[in-house]
Amino acid sequence: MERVIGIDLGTTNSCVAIVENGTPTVIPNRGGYKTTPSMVAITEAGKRLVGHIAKRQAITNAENTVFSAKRLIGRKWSSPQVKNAVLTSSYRIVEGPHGDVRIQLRDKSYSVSEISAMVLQEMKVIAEDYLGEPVQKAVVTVPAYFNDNQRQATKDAGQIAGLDVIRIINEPTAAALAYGFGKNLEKLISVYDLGGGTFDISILEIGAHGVFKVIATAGDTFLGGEDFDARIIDWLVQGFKDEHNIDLRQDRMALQRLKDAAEKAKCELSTVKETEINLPFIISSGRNEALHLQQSISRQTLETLCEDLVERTIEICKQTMLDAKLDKDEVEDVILVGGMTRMPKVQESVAAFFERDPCKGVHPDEVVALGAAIQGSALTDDKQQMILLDVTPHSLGIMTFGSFFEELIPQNTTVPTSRTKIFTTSRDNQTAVKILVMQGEHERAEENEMLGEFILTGLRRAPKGQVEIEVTFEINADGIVSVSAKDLETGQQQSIQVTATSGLTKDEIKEMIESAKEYMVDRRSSEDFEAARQEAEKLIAEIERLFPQVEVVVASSDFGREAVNKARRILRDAKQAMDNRDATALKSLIEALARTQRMFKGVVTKTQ
Amino acid sequence: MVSVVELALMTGLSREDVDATITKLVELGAVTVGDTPAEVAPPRDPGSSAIATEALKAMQGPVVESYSVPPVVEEAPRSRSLYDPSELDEDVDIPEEKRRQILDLFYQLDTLTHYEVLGVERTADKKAVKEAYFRLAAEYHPDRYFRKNLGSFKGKMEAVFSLITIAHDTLTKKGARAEYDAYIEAQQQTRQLEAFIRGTDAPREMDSLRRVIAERTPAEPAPSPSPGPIRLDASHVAMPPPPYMEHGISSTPPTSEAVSSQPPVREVSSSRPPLQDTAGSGPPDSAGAFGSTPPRDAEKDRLRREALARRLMGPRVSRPPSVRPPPTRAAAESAAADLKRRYADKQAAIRRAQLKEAVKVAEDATQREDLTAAANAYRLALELAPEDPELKQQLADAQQKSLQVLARNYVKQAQYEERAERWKEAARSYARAAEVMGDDASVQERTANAMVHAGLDLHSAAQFATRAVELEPKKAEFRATLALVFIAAGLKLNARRELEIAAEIAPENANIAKLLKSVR
Repeated sequence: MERVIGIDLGTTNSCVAIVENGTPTVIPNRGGYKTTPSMVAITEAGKRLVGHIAKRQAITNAENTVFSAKRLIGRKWSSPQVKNAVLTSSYRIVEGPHGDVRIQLRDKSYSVSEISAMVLQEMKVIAEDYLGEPVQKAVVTVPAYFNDNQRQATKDAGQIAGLDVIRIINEPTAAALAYGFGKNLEKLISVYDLGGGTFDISILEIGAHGVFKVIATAGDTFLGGEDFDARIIDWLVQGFKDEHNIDLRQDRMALQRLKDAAEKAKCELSTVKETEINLPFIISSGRNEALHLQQSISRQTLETLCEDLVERTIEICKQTMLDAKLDKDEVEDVILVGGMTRMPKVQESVAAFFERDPCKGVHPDEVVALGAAIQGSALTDDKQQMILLDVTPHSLGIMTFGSFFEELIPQNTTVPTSRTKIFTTSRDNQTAVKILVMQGEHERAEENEMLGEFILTGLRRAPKGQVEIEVTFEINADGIVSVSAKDLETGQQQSIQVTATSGLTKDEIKEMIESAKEYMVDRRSSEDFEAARQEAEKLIAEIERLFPQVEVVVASSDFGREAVNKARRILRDAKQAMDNRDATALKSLIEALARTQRMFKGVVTKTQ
Repeated sequence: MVSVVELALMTGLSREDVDATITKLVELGAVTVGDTPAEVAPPRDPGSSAIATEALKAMQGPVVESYSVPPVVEEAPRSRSLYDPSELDEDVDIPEEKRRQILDLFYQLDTLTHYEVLGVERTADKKAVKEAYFRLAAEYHPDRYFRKNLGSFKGKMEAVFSLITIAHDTLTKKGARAEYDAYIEAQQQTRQLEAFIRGTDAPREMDSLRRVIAERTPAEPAPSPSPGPIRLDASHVAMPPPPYMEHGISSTPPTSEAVSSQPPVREVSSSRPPLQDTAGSGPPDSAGAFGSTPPRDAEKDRLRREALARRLMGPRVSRPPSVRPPPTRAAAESAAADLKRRYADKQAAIRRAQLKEAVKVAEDATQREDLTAAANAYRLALELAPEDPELKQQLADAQQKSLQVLARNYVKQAQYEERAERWKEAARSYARAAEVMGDDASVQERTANAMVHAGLDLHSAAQFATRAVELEPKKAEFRATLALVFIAAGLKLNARRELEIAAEIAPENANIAKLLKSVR
């Protein structure tokens, strides 16, 4: 059976897991870490860096290092969140050809899906290295409150990375799967997921027969750890300005250092009451003298700075409980997911709201990837009896006359589902009708997310209002929305699949897939070369060390001179192959090098 | 566009006949329930209603949004067999037994109650409902066969899943369940009341009543071993009881002794097809257990119950309906002859006693507010004393009252449908209620509102809304509804006029302000 990996594509960190012999396991990266920073950078030499190495060079290469791409994925250039990001981010965000968002790194602009694809590709490689075999299929998680365009963009990212994303699932739902896996529970739980960039709350019921049913979900796709960092940065910048009258934001490198320091301080304050932020030589003053930033920050200060952020999450929880018509005492367990839930203030607030201590049994950074892996295995392995019943986080509807939004499928409807409504024509002899499919909760159509539009044609010619068209909206288990329309009179039927747009055309995606493939080939061959080079260098060093001794010993015999000459040739070829970065040639020479080294060793040992 | 009354005028048929015809057509699928019965009506004189013509001409945009129907993908064939057996042969990656289960369930989705679809009893607690739901969800969720070839079964599984989810969501929420229970109860009642008002069920019920009255007032001691309790024949009991019988007769439940005594009247009803018997053999939660089912549905019901039983009990050959051995023909005939002779002999003597009894039954029923029973009893009494003016008045009162009850029931039903956004059904229920409750402004208004939402018959909607405004001209919300109708019909000017008045009455109403903005 083919392996399916689970990938938690996070705003700040990503994580990959797999179910091995019935046990879900997180796969560590080469550095031994279980999570990998979702960061991508392009070096001056044009080399792509992903993960920890990208993070390590972020300060010196701030302009060409992308972090938090997830906050931009599937969004339109015109959205307020993108406008905001353009102002605050250290890398350049530019407008794409379809009103989408692109990121300019060095001389090339990348779509956000491409950047996310680089992270996904890295996660794929981590899994392949661990498993020793290629991996094709994956379940990828997204924040529960992502809309269909954001989901589609994430799916595209998977495709670009060479993955068959068999299912996109919601992060809190994944966490619940991991929490309930193999425990035979029957429980009502609530998952509070505050990650690097997004907040989600989901309420689920774990029932008999391995059924996980989401009851309600809500969230904010622009509320997470980064906003907490931003508060600390603001505070530091303001303090520095008051003292030196210098705006640190003007300097990208200073800003990147501030960002790192703020994140670090925030994490430390989860365990200690006070910490020091120390950034020497942060900037030079007008008089060419170096200035340092030295500031201590207490947990109390952080909590005051971020009070409203925590409050916002609690408000969303409150609303969700109301929507779900549930009382707090019906919730039997609360799971905390996401790095931000390590913050004591967050834990306290959640405990106070739900009137119970949150569950300590799950790892907030790993549980989502584990859940994704579990879902992957549940879908593909007949032995796994587990069914996930998720809901649509947003209402689905159409734009009606007067630019109103008419809801067809309300939010928190369990999928798969379908609804039918009747429409009529608006003009005499109208043979086609245009329907705009939208997603959201606003009653004004333009406030909602446009998913797609389509035109139904071939209607009977008749006076306006007389042709009745029965339209069925359907969301299947894969989350795909399809619309079928039936002329009630003639019985003529048409169906259309509405695919959300990530802002990329099919051709663009195809191109990106190709270039990602090329990159992988290059990368694999360069990895091969690296491995061969290291081995060759070791052998060459050994041979060269023994060379003088061997030359003395064999100088007297023709045979010996011949052997020495041959060894010289091999060394020369190997060095040349290394200079040419020719992995194939080098690999073929390694055997010869090894033989020479053995022979030299033998000669030297014999004579001693 | 055309009301039943108008149809009656146009076709020259009686109100009842029109009603019955429409019902029949609906059953046959020729016209849509609650929809404008335009298909059976001759083309309306265009001059007769300017508004409607205007409305049709001026309809704009794909505005008209309508009801939510139960999520079925295809229309279930109304044949004897639930579906074409060849559907079972589709080449998909689902075991045959499972395919059968899916089809059995799928093709009766629109007839099953939430209880039936989950296979639980009406009394099942939340836990039992959940248990049933989770079991079925795990079976019918298409992920169970992820990326397998499911063919047409995928959509069917999704439809089944969708409905069991709605059933679960309804039955596990206290309020929603109570509402749903009230809804099916009301539906049940309105069906009975309708039948009574249309008179379709009356003969049968009158017969039963006649028998009861006849037995209660014997000219001489009945030849029964137990003279006390009123005797009932067995088939009478097995038959789905009309409402009044539940109270009126089973107050003294039939003993097995009484049943076995086989009174001669038995013959009358033993000629019924043996389908009642399956009511006893079906699951206790099936329709038969909580109300009468009109005979025309009986066959469908039986199929449904059998399919349900199959699903609940796993693969098993369905039990053929057990047929009670009929009484021997000779015995029956002689009993009938005996009865006739006795009736002839005693008729004059017992007439007064029967009349008295009938009036008593009627009064009892009135007290219980069982109006159909009361009306039937009065009718019977009138047969015995055709000229009694007081009885006539009583009957008229009972009929009027039952109309009121019916209307109230329709309102209840409509409110539920409204909440579920089943606008088309709500519009229909409200319209029925509005016919009777002509002076209730809010019912008129709600009717109009539901009709607009259902996107149907803007002409009638305008009439209802106008009536509501006439009744309570100071109610801004009613004017807003009328304006909504106008907007839907594209009559912006009229809408604006109404909204301006409404805004004067209720300047604080944000909704009106918003609507007004949209038409200016």
